[in-house]
Amino acid sequence: MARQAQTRSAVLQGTLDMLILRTLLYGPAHGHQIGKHIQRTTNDFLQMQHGSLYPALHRLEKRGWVTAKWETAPDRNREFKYYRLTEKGRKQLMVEESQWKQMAEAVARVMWPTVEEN
Amino acid sequence: MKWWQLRKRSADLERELQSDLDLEVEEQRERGASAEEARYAARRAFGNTVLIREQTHEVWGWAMFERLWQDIRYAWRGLLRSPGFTLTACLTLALGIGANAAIFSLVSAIVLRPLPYPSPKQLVGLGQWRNQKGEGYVQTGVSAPNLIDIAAQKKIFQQVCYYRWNQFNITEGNHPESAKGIKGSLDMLPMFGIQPLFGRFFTAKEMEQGHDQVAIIGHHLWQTRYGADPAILGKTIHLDQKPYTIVGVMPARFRFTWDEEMDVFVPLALTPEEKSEIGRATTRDLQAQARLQPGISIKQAQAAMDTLAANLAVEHPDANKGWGFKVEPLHAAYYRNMGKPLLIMSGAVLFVLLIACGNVANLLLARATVRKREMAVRAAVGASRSRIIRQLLTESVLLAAIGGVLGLLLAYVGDRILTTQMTQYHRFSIPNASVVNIDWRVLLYSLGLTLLTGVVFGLAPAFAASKTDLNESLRESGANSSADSGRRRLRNGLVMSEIALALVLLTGAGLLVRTFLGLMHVDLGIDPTNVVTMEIDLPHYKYADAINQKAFFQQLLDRVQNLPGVNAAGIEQPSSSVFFRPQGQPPAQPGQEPTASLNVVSPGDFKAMGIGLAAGRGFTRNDAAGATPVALISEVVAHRYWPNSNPIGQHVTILQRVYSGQSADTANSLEIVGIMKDRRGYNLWEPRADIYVPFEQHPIAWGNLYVRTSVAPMSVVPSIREAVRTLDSEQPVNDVRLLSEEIAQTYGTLAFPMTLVWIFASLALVLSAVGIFGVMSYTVSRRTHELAIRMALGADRKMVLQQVLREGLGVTLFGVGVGLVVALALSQVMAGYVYGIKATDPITYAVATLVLILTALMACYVPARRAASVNPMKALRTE
Repeated sequence: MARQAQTRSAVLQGTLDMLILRTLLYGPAHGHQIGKHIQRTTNDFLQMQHGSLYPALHRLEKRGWVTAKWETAPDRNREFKYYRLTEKGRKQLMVEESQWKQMAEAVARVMWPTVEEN
Repeated sequence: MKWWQLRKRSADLERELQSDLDLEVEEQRERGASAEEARYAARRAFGNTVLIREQTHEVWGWAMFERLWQDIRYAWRGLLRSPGFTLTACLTLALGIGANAAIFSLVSAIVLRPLPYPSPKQLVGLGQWRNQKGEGYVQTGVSAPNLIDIAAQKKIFQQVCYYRWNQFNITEGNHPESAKGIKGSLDMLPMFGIQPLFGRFFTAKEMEQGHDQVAIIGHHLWQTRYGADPAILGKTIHLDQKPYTIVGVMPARFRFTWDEEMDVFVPLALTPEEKSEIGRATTRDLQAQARLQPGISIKQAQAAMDTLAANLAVEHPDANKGWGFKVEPLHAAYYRNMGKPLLIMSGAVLFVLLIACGNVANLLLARATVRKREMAVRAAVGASRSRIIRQLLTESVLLAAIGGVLGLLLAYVGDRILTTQMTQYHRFSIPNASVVNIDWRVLLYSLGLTLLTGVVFGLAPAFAASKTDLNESLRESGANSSADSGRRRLRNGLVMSEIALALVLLTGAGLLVRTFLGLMHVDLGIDPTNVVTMEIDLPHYKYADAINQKAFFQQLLDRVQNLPGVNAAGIEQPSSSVFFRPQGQPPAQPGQEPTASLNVVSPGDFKAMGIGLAAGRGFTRNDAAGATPVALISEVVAHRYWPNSNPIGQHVTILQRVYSGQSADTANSLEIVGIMKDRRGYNLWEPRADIYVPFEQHPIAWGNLYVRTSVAPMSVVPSIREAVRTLDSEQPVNDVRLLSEEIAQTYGTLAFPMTLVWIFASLALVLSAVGIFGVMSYTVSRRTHELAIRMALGADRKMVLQQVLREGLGVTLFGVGVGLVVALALSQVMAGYVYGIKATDPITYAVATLVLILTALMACYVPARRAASVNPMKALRTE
């Protein structure tokens, strides 16, 4: 059981960071919101447990890409830990995004070769 | 993130997870789920919180230490839960580590601590040696002209210096006292690289005769005799009634030859003759030291010296043929005598530690079986195997650490005892004994040893314990399982190693004891009971010529002999090595002349010392100055040089003293008139090759007075002192002691390392007995079920008893076999140290083996009895 969780988070890890950063581009959010957002946007395709977000969030915070602060949620009237994208995080997102694009294009070119190349 | 924020950080994470989880629950409720459903659904969506927590901690970068801390706390609680086990294990380890730390502090103080001078590695001792046929090596100092040639090797040596020890009398003021002094060459003090506290070193001019009455004094003398007078320079100190101008004071930290605090240093002004070619043979008494050029190794220096020796042997065959030079690190030269005892003792304590480790490993193995379920549960909730091994290792290292701390306490006590013992025998070559303590090297060594032992004794049990079959362990109720047989092999292997190690130690200790007993019963050639001895040194400024010296000693002997309670009195100048020529033998090649110890004695000396006459006659009053020059030889000399003929009536010629090269005033050949029984000196291993000459024919200015009494020997000392005072009211009498005490001290020097090894061997025996006892008890308790079935099926108690004993004996015999092989392989270490037996002495080995087997059987007997007293009904019902 423990081992399974580890493999899944390892697979996700590279992209998970990017997904979190991208989510935070809309504005500050707490862990629960980030998880819900990613799950909902991918139509539940990424079957991820919310818990696996926290190690990633703390890693991003340690690298200085996000900052965290306890703030009161407007609708719930109690405090949540809100994460906010930093300038450094914004740049990192751009880097990761372009890397991902290149990767995706490269994979795509192999998988679905276009006519010109034939 | 810093480690001190960990706690806050951890609380923060807790709060974050809780708040997000709560939100999830709320949302589920809002969707209409029941409270319980909502909680489960939220948990499912969230995942394994323990794992999340751990992974997040990992991100912070302190997870390793957090885990370690967790493990330590867990281990600590575990140890507290079984205090009996913990106490046994810690004490066993404390013994092992403590013994090692104590002996290592000896090694540290004597071998590892560098000499207290700048660049101490450059300092070397120089010596001359030659190989005497049938007598082994003779090593001396280096003669002055040879030293000049050596010093010319400027590429090799920065400085070459020489000195002579000199006991001075400070003859001034109201309280005369004796002073430890050194007469040294120009470079001697500068070579050490320590500047005077104030004042200066000697100048080249002051090394010439007539200009040499200047002195540098030691810090202690400056403080005690001069009250730390800051204006001491230029004042005069009278040494042996000669005035010396004080030109310098050495600092307090300065020690000569490593740890000697000297009182005075004066220039050693050699005579023109000593410096001339004659000196090559006559000044071999000079102690020589040198400082190598930076970057020159001992090997390079030795090679250069070998070449030089070969050249000098050709250029000056009379003095140098057959002689070689030896270069050795000054530090090694100082501790040389301690080398072998230290090696033997270090080996012994290491064995003790290994045996202790074996015992603790066995304890851990037994404990692991008990904790099998605990391990299985840990594995079931997700702990990996490496995680469990780490946990168990933490526990064993923690045990070792407690043992290490206790061991250091033991070592501290041990060091105090060692220091007292060694300073008592300090004059017999244990340098630096006063500074034996727990220094940073010992601490570091103990720390390393502790960690290592923790891993060594913990690793095997940890692996064994972590190899759990989940299903089996959780299901089984304590009966035998397949993993058990592997563990039993491990346990038996450990005990076998312990027994092997113990046997090696026992044989070693046995060899030492037999050696000591052999030396105890060796015929010393003298009878030390009721003999008192004292030193009388006639000052040369008062007794300049032979007539005065002879007259003094003759009158003194007459008076002492007539004292009530005195049976005999004699004077003897302790031996010095001489080259001699036995008559009737072809003249030896230059460099191959035989050597012997020359003793100048009075006729009464043999009776006073109790040396027996083997043949011929002793000395009489008639062997006086004008009469035929005579000599006595010892049996060893007689057998060695006159193997097939009677030496009495033959002649010997004393050529020269080995060290000083002086002619010993015996240019004429001496007629051998008798053979004395052999005697032994400090070297108890072999008899001395002695030649005796009468003091009437070879005047002496100092000697030891030996007085044999019929009453308590010390009771005649006042009247002897009175007799000396009557002859010369200023003549001091030094070093009054009993001959028996002197001999006891010689034996004490031997007994010291032997006693230690003996203690360690006993410790090893007890520890290995405890080891086999523990294993057999454990085996029996695990096999109660099986034994009960056997007995229920008709086996009688005797058979069960025999079976258990046989198993114990099997393990023991295997260990003994391995131990014998190892002991034989290591016996080379003891060769040359044993006396009267070979290092492979079969009796010693047999006795050690027997003692070990009997001890092991006794240790097995108790568990065997317990096995035999198993009540089958009861045992089977508890299942």
